[in-house]
Amino acid sequence: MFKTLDPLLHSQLRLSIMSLLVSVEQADFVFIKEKTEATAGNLSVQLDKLSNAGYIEIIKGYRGKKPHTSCRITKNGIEAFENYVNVLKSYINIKK
Amino acid sequence: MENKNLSDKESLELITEMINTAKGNIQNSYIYFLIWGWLVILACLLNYGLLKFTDMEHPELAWSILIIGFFLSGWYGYKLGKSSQVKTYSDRIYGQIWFAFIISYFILLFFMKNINYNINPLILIMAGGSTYLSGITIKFRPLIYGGIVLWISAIISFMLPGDLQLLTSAGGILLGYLVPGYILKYKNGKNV
Repeated sequence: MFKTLDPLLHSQLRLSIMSLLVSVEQADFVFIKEKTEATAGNLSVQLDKLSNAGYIEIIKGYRGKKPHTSCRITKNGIEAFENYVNVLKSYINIKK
Repeated sequence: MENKNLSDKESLELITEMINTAKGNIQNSYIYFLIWGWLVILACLLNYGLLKFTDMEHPELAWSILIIGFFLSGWYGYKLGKSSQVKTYSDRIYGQIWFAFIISYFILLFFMKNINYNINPLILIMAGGSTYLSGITIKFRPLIYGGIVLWISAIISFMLPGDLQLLTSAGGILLGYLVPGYILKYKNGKNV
């Protein structure tokens, strides 16, 4: 059977976000923006898509008086990421 | 970064790159080594000075200056927690290692009278433990070697009389705590 890659993860920015979040416990919006070199607008849109799918959790709050957003990967997100990597691996094995 | 679609190879490269980016994030953890390193050396030398040059009944009380360390570490921990943009799993383990050892130091200092104030080798054993584990957690060799140096100092310390134990401790802490602490500080400065 030929499995398909999760379309939600198969995009450069969303995959970057998920790869970052899978390796840390929690990361700020600013941190993700710096590491992915994305624009704030684009990043917000992609984070919302991942959050709506239940792959990440967006935590909005305040740090002092400034609004502060941080993100964390969910159990579903980790599962989806692992599936994505496994499908990718199976593709590469077939090509070999 | 664009939202373009990826080839299999590009996907894998991207995942590897991002995971490595997150891993390379060393926090300003060297600060604890500098605080505790300088304080313990100061306590050793103060204790040695009081023992040799005064008639004070309990020169070991010099160790009470370590209390400053509890407040300073607590304050820095709070400040770092507030300003850090990312929380990694190793940061959490690292913080917990320090918390565990600070509690142990505190218990030891509080009851040092019960063990006739012979706390030098014990401080070195505990310092060795926290340094070694910190080195393993953040994969930083100078700290791992520092831990081993501290354990060796503890063994030497057990074989020496009280006043020489103090000088061994000061030397052990200098090599096992401060040197790796300053290497970490230097590396951290280069990362920023």
